[in-house]
Amino acid sequence: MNKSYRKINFRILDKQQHHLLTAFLFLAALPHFFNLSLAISLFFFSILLFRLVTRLLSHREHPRWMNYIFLVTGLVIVVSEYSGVIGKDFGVSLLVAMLSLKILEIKTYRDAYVLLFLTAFMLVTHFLYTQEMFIVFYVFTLTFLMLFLFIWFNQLQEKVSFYHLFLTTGKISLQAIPVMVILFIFFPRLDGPLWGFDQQSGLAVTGISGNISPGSISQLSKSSATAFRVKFDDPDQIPEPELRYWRGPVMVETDGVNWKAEEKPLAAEIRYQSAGKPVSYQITTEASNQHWVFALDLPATIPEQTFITKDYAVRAKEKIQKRISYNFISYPEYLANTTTTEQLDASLSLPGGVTNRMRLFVDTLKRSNHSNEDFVKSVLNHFNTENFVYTLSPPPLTVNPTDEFLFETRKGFCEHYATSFVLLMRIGGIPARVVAGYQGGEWNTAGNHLIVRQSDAHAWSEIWLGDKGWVRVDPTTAVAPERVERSIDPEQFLEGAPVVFKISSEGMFGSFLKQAVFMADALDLNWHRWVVGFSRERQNYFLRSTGLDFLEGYKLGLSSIVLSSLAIIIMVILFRGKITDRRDPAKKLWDKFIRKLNKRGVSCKPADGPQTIAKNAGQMLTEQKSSINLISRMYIQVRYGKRYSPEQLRTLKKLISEF
Amino acid sequence: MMPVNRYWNMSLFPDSNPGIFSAIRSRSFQNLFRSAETDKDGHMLIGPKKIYILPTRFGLMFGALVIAMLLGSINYANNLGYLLTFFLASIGILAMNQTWYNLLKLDIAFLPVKPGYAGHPFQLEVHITNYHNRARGAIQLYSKSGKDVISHNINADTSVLFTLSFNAAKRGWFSVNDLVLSTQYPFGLFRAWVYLKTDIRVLVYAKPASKWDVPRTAVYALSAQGNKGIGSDDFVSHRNYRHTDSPKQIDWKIFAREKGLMTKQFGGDRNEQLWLSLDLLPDEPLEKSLSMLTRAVIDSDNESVEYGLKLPKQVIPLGLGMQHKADCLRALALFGIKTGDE
Repeated sequence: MNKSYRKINFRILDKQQHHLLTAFLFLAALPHFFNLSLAISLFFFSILLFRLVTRLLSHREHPRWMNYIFLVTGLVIVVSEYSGVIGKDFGVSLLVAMLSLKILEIKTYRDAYVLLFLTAFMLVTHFLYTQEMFIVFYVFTLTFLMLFLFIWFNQLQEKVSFYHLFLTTGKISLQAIPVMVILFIFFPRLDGPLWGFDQQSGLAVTGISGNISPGSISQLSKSSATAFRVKFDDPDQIPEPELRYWRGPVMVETDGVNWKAEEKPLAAEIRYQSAGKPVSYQITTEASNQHWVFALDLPATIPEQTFITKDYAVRAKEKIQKRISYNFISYPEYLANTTTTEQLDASLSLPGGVTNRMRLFVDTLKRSNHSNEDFVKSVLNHFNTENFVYTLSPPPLTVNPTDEFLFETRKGFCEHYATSFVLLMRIGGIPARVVAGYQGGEWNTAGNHLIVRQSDAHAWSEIWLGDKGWVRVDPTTAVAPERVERSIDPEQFLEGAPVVFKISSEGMFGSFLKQAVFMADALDLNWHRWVVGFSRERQNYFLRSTGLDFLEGYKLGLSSIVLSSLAIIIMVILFRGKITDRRDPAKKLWDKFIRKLNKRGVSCKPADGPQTIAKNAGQMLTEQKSSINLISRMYIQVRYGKRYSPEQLRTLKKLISEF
Repeated sequence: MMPVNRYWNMSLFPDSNPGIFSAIRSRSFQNLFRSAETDKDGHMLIGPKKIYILPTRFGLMFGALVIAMLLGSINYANNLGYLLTFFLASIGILAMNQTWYNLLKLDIAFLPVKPGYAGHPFQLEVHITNYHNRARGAIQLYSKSGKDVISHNINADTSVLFTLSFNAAKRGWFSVNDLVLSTQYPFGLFRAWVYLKTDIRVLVYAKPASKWDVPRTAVYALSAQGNKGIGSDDFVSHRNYRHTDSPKQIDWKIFAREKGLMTKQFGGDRNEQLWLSLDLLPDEPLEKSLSMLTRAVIDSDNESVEYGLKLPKQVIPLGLGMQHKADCLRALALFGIKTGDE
């Protein structure tokens, strides 16, 4: 490589720069300590502390073999914390752990550059966890600091003006912002991911699937990703929160632990009696890589790309691999009193894991409650009055989940309640099945639509009550009635703690504060609408409303390149600076002298040097030859000499003006 | 002297194979590239077409980082990721422009180089002027064959003196024709550079021997003009200015008092004579003899002994003074060296 290049990059960092780099790394990793496991945060801290202490106490480097020990420790911690699951958390933990190790072996500027690049990559991973405004502010502040460090490290001279560095960083950042905005608006957004993301060992993070087992839905509930959005045609038709059951796969088959929907269900006809008013709406579902479409319980008219199964679950004919919209009409109130004996038989079959105490429990309840309705109520009452807890992180269940849950742990999420309730019903002779789907949804006042998130994933039961047909029973409401009225706040749960629901805190603030909160909320909403949620839809909407909707497909990509290039050119011109006429004072005097010579008929080409000019002028103006020579010699000395005194300059000025 | 360019040496041309390769490497290869040239005024202005720019290793790394971030953002449909990615991409492109711009329209003036002695470093001084109202950061000047890299910030409307040290091992002409002005400012992601086409030749005197130990055959003779002789030791009197006089000898104080131009006259009061010649040192090898004679010239000049130099093809008559000393040293420096100079 080039010499000047080497000279810069192999310089040794000084202590001050070391400390600053360490501090920068610490700040850059800080928000991750809320996302990653404690062990990794502790590892990171102790390595940084070790670095600081060794730097402060001694001038010598720590022995090299220690780095290998740290490396192995770090790898073991990361692998054990994320038990072989190659996903987002694993990747980010690895990055954080390795960055802390990198700072141990930093010596030269080149190392610092590599560290800064890796840190920049870590900065972007913050957005995988939080998308709030403050994190953007935080990340961009650190990016600014990073640019500052780049400039600093690129200075060869000893004396560095931090004010100047700050100004340069600020200027280039200001120039970059408009370009960034243009790219952001016009860069074409893709419909689906480039590769499947978050394939965390088959956890159903991308939505409800045709299989549920204890723990699968509570896993899902930790994700605040959008499952689908619902736009209602008539705002008056929007069903009440307790009726917002989004029906997914219906599960009849079980082995006592797992519940399974039919893998390849056949299309069936809709044969239920509708009651009440129909609701027509449009569902825009996110890519789930599955067939299930979650229509409002129960759908009556379904779109062409889908079909309905005999237990009224809607399936897309193709896997949903990109965002797609469907139009539905549903009846929230219905009487589904048609069925087949096969269906009823299947809904009564008992898996192997039914224990004696379960039978005993059902028999006791059956004896005191003769009608099926009373029996159902008594089971729900049991959930309600006994010490059952609704939690996202229930204790692990091993051999016979239903039995252990009912009689020992008594802590569970909706799938625990739904599956055990169905099993109890079947023991009691009532055909029952589990329905998975979503419940509730968050009303988006800005977009006037309902957002249903993965955290709204839910499981409930359906039982056959003769004349009443299939009746929906949600045993979770017996334990946590708030579940169907409010959404779960996925950011608020702790391990093993009862579920926290989103509760609006009204009346707590004074009117001023309330106003401020509303404004912050509006800002936040717009932030989500225009920045975080700037999807393909929004982009199209924006282009349509600005009359730019002819930009489609490749044209949009092209326009993003052309417009950002234009923006760069404009920014460069705006910040270009000007050449000032601060010529050398001697040069100014010389120019004056040349003008004087020109007046006397001596032609001087601008490219001619002073000696040539003096020679030509001397030949033409022989009587002034000596003074011309003196002036040119003075000029050469003043302008090209190593140093000149102001006195000499004054002399030259005098000579020229006397000429 | 160092090999011309370590990079080429390492990658393309092995050190063990000089000859044609070194020729390609040095001048003729250099001529393939555009380089900034000196105008008649002795100045060099960096034009836009003279500037080369390439991403550095870090620039490529930065590009890879931005692409990785973009792919991640697309995949996770993460708009904030897009935001940061686009910010960094814009910074990268603007940085390229700024690096290029950092060299543009810099004015370079080379100061005359004083001759030096072989084995002693001599300094090349270069005035680099920034006529912009925007500061230029971390401008580096180096010679591809030297080891110094001089770096300075040049603030708006200022001129900075870059001093490059060279070490000439041999007497004769030392030419500086491989100067490069470069910068990686601001972020080190790009490197812009300009080849400076210079034809600076520095006269390198022979290395002075530690002492002159040949017995002197000095001749004393009083100057016929007494203490009015022409020398450079002591100030004697003023006389009217003649246009051949050196500006150094003009008494500017008198001029400032508006009493016209007066030249200061210097002189010595006695003359000592010494003829220097290679014949005085018949047994020594040539280079050593030249070293010894160089020492003799310096000593004689210090002691104001009038001296002359006799070389096989050149005789410099007896004399004294700066110019005389310079002539003698030059004759010794260039003795036996083929030069196409004046």
